[in-house]
Amino acid sequence: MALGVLFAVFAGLLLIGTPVAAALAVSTLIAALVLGLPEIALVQQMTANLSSVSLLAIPLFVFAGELMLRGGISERIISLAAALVGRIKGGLGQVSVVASTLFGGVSGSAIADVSAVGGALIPQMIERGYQKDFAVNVTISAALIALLVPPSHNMILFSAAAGGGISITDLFLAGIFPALLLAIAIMVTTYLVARKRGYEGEPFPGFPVVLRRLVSAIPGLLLVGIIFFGIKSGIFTAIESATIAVIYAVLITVLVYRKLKWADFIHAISGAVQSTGRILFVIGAAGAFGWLMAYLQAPAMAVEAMQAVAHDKTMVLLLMVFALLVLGTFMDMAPLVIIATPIFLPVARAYGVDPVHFGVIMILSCGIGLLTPPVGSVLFIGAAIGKIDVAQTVKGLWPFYIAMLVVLLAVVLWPPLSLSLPAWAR
Amino acid sequence: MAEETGKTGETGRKGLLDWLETASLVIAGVSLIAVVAVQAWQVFARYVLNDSPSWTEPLALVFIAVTAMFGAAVGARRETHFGFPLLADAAPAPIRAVCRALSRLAMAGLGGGLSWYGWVLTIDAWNVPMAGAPLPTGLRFLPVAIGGAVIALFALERLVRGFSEPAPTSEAAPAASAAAEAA
Repeated sequence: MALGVLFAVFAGLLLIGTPVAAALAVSTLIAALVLGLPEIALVQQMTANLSSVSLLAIPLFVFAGELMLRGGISERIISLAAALVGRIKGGLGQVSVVASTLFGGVSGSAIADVSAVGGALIPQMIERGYQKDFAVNVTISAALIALLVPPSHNMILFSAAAGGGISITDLFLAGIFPALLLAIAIMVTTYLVARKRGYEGEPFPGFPVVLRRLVSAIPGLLLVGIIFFGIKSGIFTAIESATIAVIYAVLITVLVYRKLKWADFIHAISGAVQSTGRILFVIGAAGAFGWLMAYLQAPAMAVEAMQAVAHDKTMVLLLMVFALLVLGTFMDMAPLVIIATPIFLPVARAYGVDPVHFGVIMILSCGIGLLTPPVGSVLFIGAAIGKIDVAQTVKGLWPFYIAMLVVLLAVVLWPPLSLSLPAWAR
Repeated sequence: MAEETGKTGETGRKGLLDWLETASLVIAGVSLIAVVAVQAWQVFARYVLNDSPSWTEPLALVFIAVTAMFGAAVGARRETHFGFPLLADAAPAPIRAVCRALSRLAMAGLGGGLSWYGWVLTIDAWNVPMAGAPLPTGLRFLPVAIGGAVIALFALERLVRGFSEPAPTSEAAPAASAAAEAA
């Protein structure tokens, strides 16, 4: 009864357009009143989740990403990518994929990625005569790579939503091979579409230029190494590593690149606190919602329900992937990860799926939702930069959807793709 | 920062709530910088002074609660929180107006509830020392109490303004831009 009330009120409020955080909190409150539980316990749960140690890294990585976006790091990375892969068919499209992979490794955010790389390359591609839908589709597809590479804050979000027991280092490592596979799949798709549409590559600028651009990009790219090896070697925790990312980003963009002005800094911090408010507010409300779900034994019921329809690990994973892809079409990624993880992870565990492997599956499945209408933030930003209608963009997106789904299937069916690197590092 | 809102009153002058929004952004921003400073001190103390302070983590958690609550308050005024308004937007204008009013009421209720119970918890835990830092535990709930009140105020402002605004047209574009800002 109370569980029915919880989900019915939550769904009803979502459908009338109530913000997810308010829908979660109000539905939890009503169900708690039905059960006769004290309301103050919900506020305690919300507060505990709102300011938990495992989430401290998220606002700091978001802040670092904002600083890099405005401080000239992305420009150097794009120049380097242009020198490296610009001559391949679909030249600037290939540049976009490589630049997204490298910048994703610095920012860890698909939104920062599409804003930085797309903002620079989509107008250039259109100027060179590429059709708008191609320019947008390559860029937004490549932006997903950022979700899988360190310092992906969605990975940290997953770890927190899972109760904090899953190693962030393992998750960061587990995403690297799938990210590289995704980059290759998008580059191949770009090549095929470019060949069909007759987009040639750019002239090779010569090795001295490649070397010069590499040297210029190194200070920015060093951040990947600092974050990655700092956490992996145990020198820094994820939070300390995020702090160092912020300080390093300020130093590089102010002292080395001399691009970050006071106004950029204010915009970066304004963007970061608003994103932090949105993300942590949902996390807080989801804490109370999840606490009540656990009280009502909803995860155990989900396991039982799944056992009635799915008989093996692969089938259960494919069912969950399907559910996440459908939910991802109309929910944003952060709330989906926060709400779905406490329900789906126990099911995956009951079937013997490694939680780190499941984390990668979850992040990629939910990430694809960022590119699907009616709610797909990366799709909307890309279309806005390309000044093209969302519906028109989506028409040309299907080869890229296929590439992403093939990679997702490979991640689901072949666990070593995700798990071999964390195992090797231990 | 306030210029970004585009919601200065009808006369073009900034109203009290516009100032409160700017103040919320400043408080949230300063708090985020404080988190960076506190964490940076922890790294410095551990590796340079060879002394790992215990107060950094609880203090960082208080600051992050401030950033989260005041950042969320700005989101409540700009209506940029994660949501799914597309179905409600597709409904006829009167239903749309009712949906919007109910949503704002839910947000105001959440802010009010957080403020009230946040305050009760602040008072209850004020005399309990925080683990690891010479601060009252109640300080952890104070940002929730104050931030919740600001959220309620902003949501109520939106609710009241909604009654005097003409029937809303499709919000697909603002929803998209809100989504774009998110994550």
